[in-house]
Amino acid sequence: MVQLLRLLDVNPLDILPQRPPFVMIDNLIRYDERIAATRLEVKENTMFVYDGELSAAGMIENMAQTCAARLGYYNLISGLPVKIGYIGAISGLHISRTPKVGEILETEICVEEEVFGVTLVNGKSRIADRTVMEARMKIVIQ
Amino acid sequence: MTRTEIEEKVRYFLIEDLEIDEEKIFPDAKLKEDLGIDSLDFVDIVVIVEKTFGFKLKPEEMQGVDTYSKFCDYIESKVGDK
Repeated sequence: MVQLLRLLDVNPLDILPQRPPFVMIDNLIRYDERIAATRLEVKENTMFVYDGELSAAGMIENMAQTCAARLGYYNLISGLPVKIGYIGAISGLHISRTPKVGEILETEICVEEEVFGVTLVNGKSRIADRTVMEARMKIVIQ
Repeated sequence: MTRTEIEEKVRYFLIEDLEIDEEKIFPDAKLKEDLGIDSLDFVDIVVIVEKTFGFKLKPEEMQGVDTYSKFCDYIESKVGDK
C-alpha cells in the first residue's frame, strides 16, 4: 500500500515524454523491474475518443505509454532523464471491446525481453477486471 | 543435440516465427542483408533461442555472427554434442 500511494503521487508528466493532450495515462499503479500497470479514466476530451468511446488507436497508445511509464519511473527514481520510445511492432493484437467515456481502463505490461534497445512486452488492458485488449509490443528506446 | 537437429530447429523458427522465405535460407545467407533480420527481429530470436535451446543468447557473443551458418555454429557451440 505504501508503494501504491507513492506511485499514485507520481505525476505522469515526470515519467512520460508525451505532453497534454497526448498523455494517455492518469496514474502508474504498479511498478517493478518487469511489470508495470497504469490507470486511465476515459473522458470526453481524451485523445482518440470518438462517439463516446476510446478507439483502438487510443488503447494501443495507452499500452505503449504504460511501457513508457515503467521506464520513466525507473529513470525518475534513478535520477535519469525521461527517454523517448517508439512502437516498433505490434503482434497478437486482440480487442474485445473499447472503453466508454467514464470507464476506467487498467493496463498492465510485462517485459519478456530487452535487448539492443528493443523491449518486448506482453500487455493486457482491463475494464472492471475483464480483459478487453491483449497485445505484444516491441518498444524501441531512442 | 546434433548439428542437423540444430539447423532444423533454426530453419523452423526462421520460417515459422520470422516468416522468412525458405529459399532465402542457405549457409552463407547474411542474417541482415539476405534474411532481412533487423534489431526488432533480434529480440524475438533471443526469446525463441531461450525457449528452443535452453540458453540465453548474449548480444556481446554475437560479434561476427553475420550468416546463417555462423549463427548455427554459435548455437552448436552452446548446445551441440561434445
